[in-house]
Amino acid sequence: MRSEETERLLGGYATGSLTESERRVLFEAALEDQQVFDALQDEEALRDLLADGESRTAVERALRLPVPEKLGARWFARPWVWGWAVGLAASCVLAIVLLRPEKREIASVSIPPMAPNASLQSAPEESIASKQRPRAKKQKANVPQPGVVAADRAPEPTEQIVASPAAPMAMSLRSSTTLPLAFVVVAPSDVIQAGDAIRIRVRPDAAGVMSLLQRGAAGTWTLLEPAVDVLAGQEYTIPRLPFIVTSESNFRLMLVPTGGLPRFAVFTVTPGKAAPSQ
Amino acid sequence: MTSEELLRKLRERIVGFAASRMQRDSAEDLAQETLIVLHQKYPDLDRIEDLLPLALQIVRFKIMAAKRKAVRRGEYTQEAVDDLPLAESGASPLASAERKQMRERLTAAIAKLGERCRRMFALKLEGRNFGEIQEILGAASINTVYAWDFRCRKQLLDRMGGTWEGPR
Repeated sequence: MRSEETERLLGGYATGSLTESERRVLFEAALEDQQVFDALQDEEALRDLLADGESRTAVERALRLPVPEKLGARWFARPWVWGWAVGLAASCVLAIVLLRPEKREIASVSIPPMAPNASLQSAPEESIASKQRPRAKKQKANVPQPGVVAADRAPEPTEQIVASPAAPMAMSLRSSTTLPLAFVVVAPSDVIQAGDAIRIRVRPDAAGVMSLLQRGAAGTWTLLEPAVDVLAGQEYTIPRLPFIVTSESNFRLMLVPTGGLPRFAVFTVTPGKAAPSQ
Repeated sequence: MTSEELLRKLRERIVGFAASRMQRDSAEDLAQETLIVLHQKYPDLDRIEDLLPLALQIVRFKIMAAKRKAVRRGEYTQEAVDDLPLAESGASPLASAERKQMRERLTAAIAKLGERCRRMFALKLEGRNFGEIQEILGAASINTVYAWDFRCRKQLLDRMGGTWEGPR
């Protein structure tokens, strides 16, 4: 293997820039190492060329020629180009700031614990967040299928999140709408529109098994996400595939703490009308 | 290292190099012929600093001659030892053309080098060693000069297609 020192010395072989001791070190390395010998043999072509008077003169002449000015360097030597470039960069930054999806939290729910057996009863629902927000949207006739991230959404609904005050666990609850490529965190005051793909961010207060269910038209609860093992205080986003908001939907978030009785929170997502676009 | 040991290692290296460019038998023959030339024409030389550069030169000429013959007549006849063209005055038209081509490629590649690389190359051509180049260029350490030289050589080689002589 060619050592670092050998590599350095190779650079001086063809031009005759090595001292006697350096030459000796290089040659001894070449005798011991086939790679160094091969590299030296390759350098021989350059050494041979530079030993030729005519070629050496041509090379020296080429070395004396002025260094060609780079096109970029020539342009950027002009002050107006800098001004233009800075302006363009500022515009880009402004555009990114204005156009990027804002993070909005829809709801943050802290629900006091209650008796486990009582928590299994359905509780009256109470709105905890409801507000309209203007939003420019493209309407699309076909509503995305559940389980598919929605890229297009119906315009101007109003969102209402309702949670059961009697829910047994303290948790932080967030819903997210989607943009075509990514989820955003939405604020309580934000509007969820029909066609939005939703996922919920949950931070359970106890370790156990958590699941999310949706109530169907016949009143039956369907498991949206297989039960997952959770740790207290850690954040989980469920379901793995988002559900699409098409009409008012009721959800039940259930936590079965390790060694404890089931606790749950019920909430409703209702798409609504947004305020007129600004 | 004794003279005998030196020649044995030299032979091993020449065979190793030549075998990557020609058949093994030819590589063995080339190494043998190179050693014969060294023995017959330069019997007084026994130092590595003298023998190795000569061997490199002889090997190069032998390989070039073998290639020329193979291209011209499809023969793989061995070169007569006495025909070895060590003196440059006897360069064949083909060798001259090859050298001209390499010169043109090299000067074209140099034209694309930056200022520092050109200075490095020019100073090396003047016969300056790396210590002197460090002083002239005001580099902080000799390692800086080595690093510059490494990068410059790499740039130059890249612009010449990876080898000094061009595609094999």
